[in-house]
Amino acid sequence: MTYKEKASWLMLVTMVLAYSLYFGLIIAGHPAGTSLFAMLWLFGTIAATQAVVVIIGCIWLAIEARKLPRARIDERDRGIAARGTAISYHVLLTAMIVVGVVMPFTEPAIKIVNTALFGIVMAELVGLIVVVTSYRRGWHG
Amino acid sequence: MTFREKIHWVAFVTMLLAFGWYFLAFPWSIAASPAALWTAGGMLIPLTLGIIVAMTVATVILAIRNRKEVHLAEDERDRAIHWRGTHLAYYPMVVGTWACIGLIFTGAAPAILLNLLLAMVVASELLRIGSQIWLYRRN
Repeated sequence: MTYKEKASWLMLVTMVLAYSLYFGLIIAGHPAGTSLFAMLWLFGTIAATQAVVVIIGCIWLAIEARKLPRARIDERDRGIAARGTAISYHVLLTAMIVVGVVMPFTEPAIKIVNTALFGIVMAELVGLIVVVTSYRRGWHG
Repeated sequence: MTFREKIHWVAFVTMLLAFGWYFLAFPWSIAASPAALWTAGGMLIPLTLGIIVAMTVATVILAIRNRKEVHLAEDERDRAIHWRGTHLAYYPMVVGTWACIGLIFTGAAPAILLNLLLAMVVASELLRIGSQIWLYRRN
């Protein structure tokens, strides 16, 4: 498994754990679902923790990757990354049309914020799933 | 110019004209009032229908004039151009989304929020289609 593939798995797993917790708490009735300040505090704590875990994990993976014969990012890695973000784009575009054009007519600000966050998280998750499955299936463009 | 490239041009010009009209004609002086939200809604419905009609008509005309190319499957170059263009547009959209989330915390009026999110979506789409046209031109 290459560095890029391992890093993508790390981001995917930490995102699933972090944002399952965040949106799970909101569904369970946490004040972050009704108050902007509580949302900012909860999201900030979870996102910062996830970022620290990803940074430490990526540093460790980079150190480990130096031992491997092919550690540099090549054309295939770039192609897979572009494919992942291209699919993420369409997910985020759809989410932003709902958030920006439909929700301002009917929903309060806090719900719009949480739906926008959900859109970003879903877009990133879909992109990462495309990336890891492309590596697993041996995609070459 | 290939059929796919022409379709990209149609989409680019249609979006530029339609949303150019929308952002110029929107009554910005009342943007902070609740009425502005419904004004935006009233403008967006005919605008969306207009884009659909204009793009359908243009695509049908181009398809009739380029019959040989219509059924050609997307090749490796088309796919690479599609992915690279979309990849480029993704990051401005993510940054724009975070900016709009930040704006909500400042207590921005719903119509201002709607227009900023719309502007971000339109700018990202124009960047996506524009970069794909540029990549086709550049070969």
